[in-house]
Amino acid sequence: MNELQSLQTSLQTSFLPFWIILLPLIGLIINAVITPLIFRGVHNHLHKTKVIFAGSVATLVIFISFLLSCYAYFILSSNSSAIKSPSYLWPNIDTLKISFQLVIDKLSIILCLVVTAVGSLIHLYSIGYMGKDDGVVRYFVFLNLFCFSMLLLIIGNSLPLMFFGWEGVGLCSYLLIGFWYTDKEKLQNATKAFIMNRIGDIGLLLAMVLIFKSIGTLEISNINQIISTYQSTYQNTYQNIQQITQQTLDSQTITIICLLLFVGAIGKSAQIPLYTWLPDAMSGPTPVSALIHAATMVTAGVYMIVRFSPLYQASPTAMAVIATIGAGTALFAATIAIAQNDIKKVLAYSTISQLGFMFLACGVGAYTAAIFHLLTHAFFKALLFLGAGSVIHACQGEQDMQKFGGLRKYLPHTFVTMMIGSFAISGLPLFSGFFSKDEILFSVLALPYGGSGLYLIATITAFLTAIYTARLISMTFLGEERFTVMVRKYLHESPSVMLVPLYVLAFLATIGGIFGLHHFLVPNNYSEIVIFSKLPEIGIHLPLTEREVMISSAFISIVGFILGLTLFRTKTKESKSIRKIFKIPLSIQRVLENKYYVDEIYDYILVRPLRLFAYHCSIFVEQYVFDLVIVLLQRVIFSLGKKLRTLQSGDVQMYLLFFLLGITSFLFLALNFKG
Amino acid sequence: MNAFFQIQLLSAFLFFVGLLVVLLKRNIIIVLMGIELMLNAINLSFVVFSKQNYQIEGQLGVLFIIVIAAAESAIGLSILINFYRNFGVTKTSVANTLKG
Amino acid sequence: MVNLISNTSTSIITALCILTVIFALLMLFAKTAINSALGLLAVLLCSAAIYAVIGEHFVATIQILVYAGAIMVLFIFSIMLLNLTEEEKEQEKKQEKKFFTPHLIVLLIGPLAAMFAFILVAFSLEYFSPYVSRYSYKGVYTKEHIMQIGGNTFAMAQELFATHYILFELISIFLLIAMIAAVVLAKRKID
Repeated sequence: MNELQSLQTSLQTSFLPFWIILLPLIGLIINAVITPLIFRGVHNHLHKTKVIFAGSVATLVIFISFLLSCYAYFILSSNSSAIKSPSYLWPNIDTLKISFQLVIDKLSIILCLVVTAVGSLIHLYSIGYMGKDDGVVRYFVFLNLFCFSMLLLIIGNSLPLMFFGWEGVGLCSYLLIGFWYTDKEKLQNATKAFIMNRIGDIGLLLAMVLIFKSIGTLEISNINQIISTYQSTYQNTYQNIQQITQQTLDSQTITIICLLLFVGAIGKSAQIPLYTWLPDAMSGPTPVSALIHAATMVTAGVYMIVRFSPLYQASPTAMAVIATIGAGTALFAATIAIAQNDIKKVLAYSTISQLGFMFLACGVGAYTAAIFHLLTHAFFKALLFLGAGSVIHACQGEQDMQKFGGLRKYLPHTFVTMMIGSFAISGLPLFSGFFSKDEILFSVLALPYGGSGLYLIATITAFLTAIYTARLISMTFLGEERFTVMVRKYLHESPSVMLVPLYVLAFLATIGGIFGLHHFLVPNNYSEIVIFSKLPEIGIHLPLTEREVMISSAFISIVGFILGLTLFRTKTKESKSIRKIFKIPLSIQRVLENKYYVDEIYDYILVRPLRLFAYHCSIFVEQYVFDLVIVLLQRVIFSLGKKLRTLQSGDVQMYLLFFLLGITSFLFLALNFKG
Repeated sequence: MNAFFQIQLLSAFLFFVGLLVVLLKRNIIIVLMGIELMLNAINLSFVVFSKQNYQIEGQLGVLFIIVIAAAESAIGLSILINFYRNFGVTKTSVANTLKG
Repeated sequence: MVNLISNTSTSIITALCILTVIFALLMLFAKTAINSALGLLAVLLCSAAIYAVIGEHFVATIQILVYAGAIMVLFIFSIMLLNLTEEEKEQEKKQEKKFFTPHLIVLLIGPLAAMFAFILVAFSLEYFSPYVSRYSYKGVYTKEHIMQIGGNTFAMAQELFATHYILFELISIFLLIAMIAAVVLAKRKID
């Protein structure tokens, strides 16, 4: 710890990180223990009070966490570089010293602010959305648990702590997706999410083991320190690296570590091939989708990669893999999103696509751009999800866009806010999404790890994003009304407790571009937090300059958006399918609608053989293990017991015999052991 | 082989035969007779030892043993009569209250 | 080794031993109770004969009078009284096989053979070892001394009534008690 302190200037140690984490935990405990006690045996007329009480407790703790994070932000931006909490040695075995320490530095403060701000808004929204549900206290408990785990993941300084938070958010995802657990399909979706998450976690665990073996420590700051020293040493002086690191550290090991960490990120952040859980995760309540599956949990993978940016800078192979997978996923998901009819599924695939963008940014080295996009994405995606939730709430649970249409008259506030959100996601100029997406596009083009191919894919994806978002708006709010009379009777705008978060998020989505993260994230010491790759100077030959990129991306997004709006606007009672508009055959539309049949492929290749194998194994085990071992054991004991039963026959002469045997042996022994 | 040794051998043998009778026979009367056989074998042994060592105490012991054997067989037979009154037969297997 | 008895006596003793063995085995393998009783009687008589040949005339007489004459008669009386009926005999035959199970026989023969072997070894060790002085603890009652006193009975009487008179008194009380006990136990209970 001493070397670390000497390197960083004006380090602070305080209990502030503990409080930021502890507050959601306190809210969780209050809601889990005290609220059921207060409201036990609640009758219908007290239900509303219970909802307001539980909801306010939950929202308040997250809001106070947010205020503490703002305070930490001000401390950080003044002159210190990190706020460390006191560290406690967790397991303290000979070579394994894992310390429980929370560090807030400039990277984690951004995510802290995002999680707490968006989280508190969504908690507020949930009070209105989940107001009539019976399990609402449980809901708030789980939401607070999620915030706690997410914060632990963000500001934990060691990999085991991060893993604890990682698993915690996975658990909360399971609990919240399967919130309405009486429906079997929802439970299956929850299990699917959890299992796919787990598959990714294997990579993370292996990476931890490998890191411990080769680098020798599991503290993130130490790891980054060692790796950047390794880098500079290796590149500059060709010294013997073994003086600094363990003997087993070489570039191949670093590549393997990076790839394994990325496997973990794939599972968590829904990239190819472990993305299929995210669309099915939409069976949870909509605020859950907003918080977990749009703004925060799925971005944990991106966060982790940015955290380990020195590690990734040392391994070009891994970066290429990340960039490729990110770009591929972005395009893939965008093509699926165009053909979906469920409003939440469109947003889910949109999330996968935007995450692909973030990974693409990481893969080319533009870590600051990735975090910036994470920030703006949190705002507009949460906004879009909450707006969708408002629409669903108004239409009594209807989610199919083919049954929407012309809702602009009835839900004006929702319409305005969702328009702003869709502007932001499409990248229309001067909204927040424009700045972050443009930065990514330029970094893809300009940085040495990027290239024109990736730029082309990213641009096409941006175009498709604009189209499907505009399609969503047009099918839902514009055009002719396609909903039934029953829905029409109860159609109403959402209560203000649901509208306030929408407006706040809309405001943030609009002005989000000013969070120019360049200047915030890059302190004087580069190697501290994220590696900032210097963009090439003007004058170096590039296909396009920055200004041209900006103009072209703005143009593409505007064109795409208008195209989407006009093409999908209906004048009749029927919604337009993309088959008619783009003149593609029915088969292709079916393929896109059914998400390229990836789920079915997984089922045939993986799930069914496994089930068959398990079934045969169980029969084998039944036959051979149970019938052989256990019945054999039973028979042996039984016959032994039968033979021993003769000891107590009640026959006096038998007793006499044993009597004699005892005496004889006693005599024998006594006579043999003289003295 | 000395004559006395033969008798001692006989004594041992008779003792074990008596033991076998006690353990193996299912009729209680025969069991009591086996006890008598054992006592008789002990008598033989006592007498032979007293003769070998030019003593007379062995014979006294034999006398007492015979007396006691007589008393014991008398009492044993009266117990046997009670047994017969209780169970109706003189088998050993009916006296199995200690079973289990 | 001093010859205490003559050679002809030795062969008589051997013959008597073998006879006793035969009768004992007869008693063991008899099918009925009365056969066992007869076997026992024969054993007792042969033992008396052995006592007599050795020179223990008093013990031989007591053996015939008390053991063979009183006790065995008692036994035969009880066998006669508690007579087995036909069906009980059949039931006994049926149950006979259940008792003589193989493992019981093995269980019995093993330790008994061990005991026998042990005693055999002990006897032969005592007999064949040159270091143990046999006959170290000797009394005065050699054959000549007995003849001098006036016979076995006289010697016995001298010992019994002079040296061990307390035992004699006690044994007579004991006999009294035994008699009372036998009568009480065998009495028919009134209520």
